Amino acid sequence: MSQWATRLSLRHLAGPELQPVLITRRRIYIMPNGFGLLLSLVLAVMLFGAINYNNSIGFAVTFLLASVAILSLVHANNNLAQLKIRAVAGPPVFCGEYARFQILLTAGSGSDRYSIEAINDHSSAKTDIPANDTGRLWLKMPTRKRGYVPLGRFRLLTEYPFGIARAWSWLYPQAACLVYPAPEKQAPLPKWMGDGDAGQPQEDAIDDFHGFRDYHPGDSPKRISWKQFPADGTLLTKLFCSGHAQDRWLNWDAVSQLPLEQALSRLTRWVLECERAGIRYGLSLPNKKIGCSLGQRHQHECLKALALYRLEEY
Amino acid sequence: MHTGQYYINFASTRYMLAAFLLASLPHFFRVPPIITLLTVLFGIWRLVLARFGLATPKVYLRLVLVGAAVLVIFFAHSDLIGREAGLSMLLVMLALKLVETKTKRDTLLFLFMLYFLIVTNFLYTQSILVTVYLFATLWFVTSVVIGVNRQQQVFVFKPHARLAAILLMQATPLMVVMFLLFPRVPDPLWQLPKQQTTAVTGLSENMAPGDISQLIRSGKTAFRVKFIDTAPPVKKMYWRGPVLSVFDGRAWSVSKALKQPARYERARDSIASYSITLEPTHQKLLPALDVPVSWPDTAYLSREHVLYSRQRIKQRTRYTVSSALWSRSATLAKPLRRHYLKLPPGFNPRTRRLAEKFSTAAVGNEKMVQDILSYFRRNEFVYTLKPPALGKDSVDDFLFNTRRGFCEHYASAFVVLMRMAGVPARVVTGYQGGIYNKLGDYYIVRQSEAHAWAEVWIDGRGWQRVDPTGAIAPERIEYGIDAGLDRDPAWHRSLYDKDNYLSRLALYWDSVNNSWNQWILGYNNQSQTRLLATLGFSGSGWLLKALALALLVALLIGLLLLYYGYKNRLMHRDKGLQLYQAFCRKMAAANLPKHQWEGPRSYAARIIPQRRQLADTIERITELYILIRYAGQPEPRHTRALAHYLRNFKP
Repeated sequence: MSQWATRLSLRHLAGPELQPVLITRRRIYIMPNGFGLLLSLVLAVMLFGAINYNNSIGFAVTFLLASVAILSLVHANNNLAQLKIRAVAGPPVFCGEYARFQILLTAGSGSDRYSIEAINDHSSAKTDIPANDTGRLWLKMPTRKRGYVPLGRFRLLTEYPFGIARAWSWLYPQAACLVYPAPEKQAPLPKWMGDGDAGQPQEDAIDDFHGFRDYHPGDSPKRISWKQFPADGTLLTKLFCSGHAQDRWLNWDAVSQLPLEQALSRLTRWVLECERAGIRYGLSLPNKKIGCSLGQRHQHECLKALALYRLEEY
Repeated sequence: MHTGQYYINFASTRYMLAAFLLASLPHFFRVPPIITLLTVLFGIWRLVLARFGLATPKVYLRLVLVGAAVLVIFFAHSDLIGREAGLSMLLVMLALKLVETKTKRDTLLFLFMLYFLIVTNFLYTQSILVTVYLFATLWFVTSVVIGVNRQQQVFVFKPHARLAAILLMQATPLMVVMFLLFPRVPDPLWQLPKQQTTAVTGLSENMAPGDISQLIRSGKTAFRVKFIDTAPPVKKMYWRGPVLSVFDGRAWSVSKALKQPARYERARDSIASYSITLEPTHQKLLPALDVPVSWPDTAYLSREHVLYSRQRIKQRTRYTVSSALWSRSATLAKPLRRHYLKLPPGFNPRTRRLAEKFSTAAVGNEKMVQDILSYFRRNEFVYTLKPPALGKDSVDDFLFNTRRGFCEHYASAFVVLMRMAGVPARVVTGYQGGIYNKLGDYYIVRQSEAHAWAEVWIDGRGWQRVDPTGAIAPERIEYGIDAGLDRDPAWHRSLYDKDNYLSRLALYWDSVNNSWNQWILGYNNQSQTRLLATLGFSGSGWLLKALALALLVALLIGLLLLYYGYKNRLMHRDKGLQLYQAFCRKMAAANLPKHQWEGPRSYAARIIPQRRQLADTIERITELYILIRYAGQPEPRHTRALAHYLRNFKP
């Protein structure tokens, strides 16, 4: 199918496209709808009357309206043509929630666009776009597994101006939203959590050098590995697990006996619980270790690691 | 039909109601007042519902209303299927539809029906002013349709009126092509029962006293004449209508036998050729000058030289005739002579004595005609549109008592006198004169030019026209009927006759109307065939027309599409993106497709380990693409470089 589509220069039907996608005329389809049928019925009656009474102006009005109807197809086409489409994935979601994608529609040519609707199987949204401006629509996709969920194919359609025909274009811009594993609902919490007690102490309570990670703005300069900098020009931040009494490690070993997805779900739950309780935590997976910290970014890093764990293609 | 979310609110309701009122306004003067009232009341009701956000009426209430409306219509028209009742029905049902409208489907249905309502207006009149008004209404309705399709909480009108104007303007050339080429059929397909309530003014086959003075009071145009070469003088323009030869003592009427077609050799010297555009009369008479010598095949000449159409004239009709201004008939057969001398016995004894006096005094019939005319002139006969009533011996009464009358009185009295004196004579009704329109080079003949005169048989010379009215008021023959009226009965009648800017304007307007009638309203099957013939296509088959139509329509739409395509071509094309897309396609063909979640850099980082030998090229392509896309205004040299790398790139 996709090869055929490519060969027939229907490239846009073949697969995900690079952004931005420009809606060219050849990828717009147009079909009369029920109102078109209704209008043609009215016009047929008018034509019949004009013929019957040999009424010149009756002919003129009928033909004028028929011409307007035909030309409205051209204008419906114009309403979509030369729109530049970009799709941006919304913030990551937990598996089972809807992933959201923002569709940015830029009206290239100097005319206003009205009543442009984006539709996929799960959602639809409608907007007007002033000339040389950008309209924003949100589309949703359901999530069934962790990893990335692509936006997939959707339609952009309009019935403006005359309402008698629908013009549409299929779009498949490359966009994917990150999906965290769903937090396990009735998960047993680690023993050190929930009872208010600090629990068992960590094995080594002194500052423990843990590894490097890419520098993020906001990292303390004290933690930058300046020795590394002249060598390859990149800034690395040193990670420590401070001997803080509250530092906890969420260890793969603690869940390794569970099936993979359940294990990831449980860890996800623990990450969220730690974050909520304000306990500094680190994540240790067989292939990745994330040092102890707290906050939005840290949580995202941990959840992303869980989301993509053992998914080779990422 | 995908309707989505639709809002009907006060603003859109107001515009829908305005569109409805605009489209039905001309009809309000045609339907009974109760129907107008009902329609307007329903409209106001809808407006109130919208203003206060009230619910539309429930089904049972609507059914009751429909039933009540049908009853009202039935009582107003005493039927339900005629054209007039149908119009009332359309108005009231549309008003009811507006009341119950709440979805987009209802709204569009209502608005499309308004288009239909607009067209029904043209069944009543196709005059220029009404046409302009209704096309403006059509524009308004179209704007509302577009506004409704925008589907927003706030109904705005202006930008959509602009688009509607553009659409209508672009549609006009298409409409012209369709109008000119859509195959026309000569005969109607089907006839709606039609009430003959509208009395049409025109000459009739009978002439009772007062008939013509009724006609003269009407300023309506009877027909327009364009002479093909030179026109005869206005005072010689006698447009002959029904010839009345049967007299019952009071009224004159046409002899059925003499109305039959007669055989004539057509080859006689024509003196004037002209084409007449006749307003519909619902009769068969075709007015023509004196003796027509050539006429269209759809007409025939009666035994009294009157031109009749084979079909009733139901629409404005154009025909071309050549006439000899007078003829030389050889003999009058005996039975005919008797017919033209016949009078009811026992009427008008005083007139008979007068006629006998004339006939003994005169030497020859021509001298007698002159004697009688000078009798009218000497005895102070008065010409008036309001003659007093006449008794049983109407001619006696007129000649000896009242002496006040109109052309029909004079013609009638003259013919009776001639017959009593033994000269065959007959009354001819028709029109005399016409107003010259310089702008359009044609003559306007109005109903007020209606006239009656006499024809007498002079042995050896044939039928001779005698206009006894001319004996009393000669200036009337010179200047048309208005000069003979007691006072000005209507301003528009005298409008043409004075030379001021108003009269010139009136003539100009009449000339515009004439062109409108001829070229637009009169466009038919024959004009279509003629047009195609001028363009070099022979034959009148519908297939040719349909083909030409389809071709031209396709051509015009193609031109519009080309125009918009050209406009788009002028826009910036994203060359960099296209090249990078080609790169991704090449990589995908080598089983290394770009994933949706990858940016260009991470993609490069992933594929370079797979294609070590191409690492430099891939990096270069990626960097150039990023430069072109994200570094502001793209530089052509970057695009060229990217194209260069890509040309030789084989993963």
